[in-house]
Amino acid sequence: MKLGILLTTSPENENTNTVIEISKAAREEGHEVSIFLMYDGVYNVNKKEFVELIDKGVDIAVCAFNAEQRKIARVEGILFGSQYDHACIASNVDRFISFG
Amino acid sequence: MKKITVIVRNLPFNTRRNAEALRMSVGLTLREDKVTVIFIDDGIYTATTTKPDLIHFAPLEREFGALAMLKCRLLADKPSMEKRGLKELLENVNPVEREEIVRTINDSDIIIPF
Repeated sequence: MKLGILLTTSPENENTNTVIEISKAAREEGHEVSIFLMYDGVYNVNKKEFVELIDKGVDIAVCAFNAEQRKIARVEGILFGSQYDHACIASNVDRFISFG
Repeated sequence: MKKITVIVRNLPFNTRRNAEALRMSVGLTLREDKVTVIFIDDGIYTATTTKPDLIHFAPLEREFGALAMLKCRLLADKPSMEKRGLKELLENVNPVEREEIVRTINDSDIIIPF
């Protein structure tokens, strides 16, 4: 199954930990996971535990517009894309969860 | 084609969240999915005529214009309007009963409370 996740809150919010744990659990069960970060969610690219999801096979994309507004530096392995990438995730997944 | 519903619940001028919700809604149409935006609770103020320039807040006209042009459904929860004494909404935003809001949410493949 393909799981899509939207995260719009910054790392101090408990949402981040929830997203990390859900993503890990889904990957361990063999599901595909795609995360889109926008609004204050883009700050999560600065959190080590979050970025480590890439090594577990999670696809992470960021709204580059929001990242640029917040002066977020690019991180290797994360797609700094657009709302089109979010639309693709929403369109292609079997289940979609929003954390905001 | 998926049915995606975005729910706007917060006051418009103490956050950029509502503007971002509308920008995201425009983006979600890029894969031909059907997008509906629901304004409910304090989010209802987002769909009323305001003068954001008085407090140097970026207006939302462009986002509302794009959503209307893309033929997205823009629904306002009537009980939320009545509770706040609001009678007029922006053009293209339709006031609907709570039952229609519930039906729309139930009928959606993806729901994004923003």
